Amino acid sequence: MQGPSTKSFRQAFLENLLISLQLQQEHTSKHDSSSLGAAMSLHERKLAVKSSADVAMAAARGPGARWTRAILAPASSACKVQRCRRIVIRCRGHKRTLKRSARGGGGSTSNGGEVARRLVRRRTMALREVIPGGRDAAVDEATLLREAMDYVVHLRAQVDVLRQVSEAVQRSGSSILQ
Amino acid sequence: MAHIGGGPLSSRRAQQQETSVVESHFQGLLDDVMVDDDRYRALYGAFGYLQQQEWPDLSSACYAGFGAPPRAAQETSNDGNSFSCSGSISSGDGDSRKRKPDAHANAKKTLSQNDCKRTRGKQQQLCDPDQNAGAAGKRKPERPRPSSRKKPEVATTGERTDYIHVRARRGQATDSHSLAERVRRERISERMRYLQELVPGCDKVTGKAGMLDEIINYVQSLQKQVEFLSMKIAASNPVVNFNIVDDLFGGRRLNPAMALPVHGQLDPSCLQMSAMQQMQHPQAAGFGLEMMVGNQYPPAQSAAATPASVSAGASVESCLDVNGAAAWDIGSQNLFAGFDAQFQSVQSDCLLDNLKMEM
Repeated sequence: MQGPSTKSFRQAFLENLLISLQLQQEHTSKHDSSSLGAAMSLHERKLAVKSSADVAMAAARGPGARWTRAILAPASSACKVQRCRRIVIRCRGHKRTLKRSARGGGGSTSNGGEVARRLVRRRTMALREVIPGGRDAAVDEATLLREAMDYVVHLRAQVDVLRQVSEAVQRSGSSILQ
Repeated sequence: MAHIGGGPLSSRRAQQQETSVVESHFQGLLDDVMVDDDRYRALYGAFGYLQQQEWPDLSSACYAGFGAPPRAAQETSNDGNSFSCSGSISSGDGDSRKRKPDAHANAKKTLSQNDCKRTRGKQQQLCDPDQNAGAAGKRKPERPRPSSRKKPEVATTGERTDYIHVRARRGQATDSHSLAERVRRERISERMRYLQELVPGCDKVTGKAGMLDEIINYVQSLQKQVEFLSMKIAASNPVVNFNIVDDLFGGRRLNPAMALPVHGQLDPSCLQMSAMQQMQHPQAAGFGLEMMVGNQYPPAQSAAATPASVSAGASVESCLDVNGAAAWDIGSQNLFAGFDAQFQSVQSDCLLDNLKMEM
């Protein structure tokens, strides 16, 4: 397992990102046989970039964590973009409802300890929804926390790389304009 | 078999006696067990255990997150062996420091050291096939739950687990169930502490629920940042293909992107937007999606950019807002068509230099 702050991880991530973006592009151009097939909408493009970034991160992380499997398993099926989009939307919806219920849950029981335990349980469930692969019932709390730790570290690296990529792309674009 | 060190205070004698009783009980058990391997393993299973392979993952993940140099997988597993051993010694010391005078502590230390030596001896036979086996995917489903009910399972999978020497503390139940439960709780709290160090701003919050809240917020904000950045990348090149970059990295050949019509009157606004986006960090701009997220968890690089952006004129921000609002519109493809035409002719060196500079 590589540390996420290593250069090799970032380079592997970048490489995977480019590869998967290319695959997305080929996928869409294959399915839209019209001459304007390259013109994806902004949303589609964003989702393509995002899903390919997630897949790239999971692939560059290598085996050894649960969330990588959770990301890569649906993405490796045939209908890549559609499936990823649906999963993303589903995760987001679940996330929102659970967060709302976690916040709005006031206990009617008198025991303070029970209320605290219920809050913690709600938040644990909310964390499960956020961390990919946390939804399985086989994941206990300790594993969930470890997965969360791992995922956070790699997410940070992903954000850094994506920011650098976007800055580089913009800089190249603007330098041409000027 | 009781070994009570001389306590300095008489008020502690009762406490010592109680602990000595507990300790003598344990030591008796251990002495019995040292002749019988199966019971030995079972007893340590009752005490609780930590799987050996978890430590290298934790350490490398956390240390890498803290900026320590990364280690190869083999090295980390080797470190994990010694780490778990020293962990058991230190846990013994920690407990002893909490309640006992020094003589007592010394006696305990030697006891735990003996045990650890023995475990280490046992480990080394079992370690090597372990390391070679090491499919990480198998670890999680096969790890037995830390409950004493699974004692026979622990004995059979003894070659895959390592044991931590846990002492019962004063006033706590010495039941095997509660011991395992306590080990589980300690593990969870330790991981919460790691997470606390990872997530910024979490050290002000105490309590599990609050920290979980912070962690969830942080993960969600990071995911939103990823979404926003991907939106930005998608926006700045209308066709999501990195032909040029691929030529640099992978040497692939792709069909050139479709040339979209250029709208001449939009070029000045394109120029302005790109220049402003270069100056300002996007999270400081009026993109509503990122406003609160950016304020809560500002990335390190934006700290320098935000003061500059704040001093920017209102006209710039309004322009950016207009363009930002347009960016969400699907019909904004015309706006970025101007980009596309120029993007076609970008020099390959430019992008490569930018990327390499960053990396």
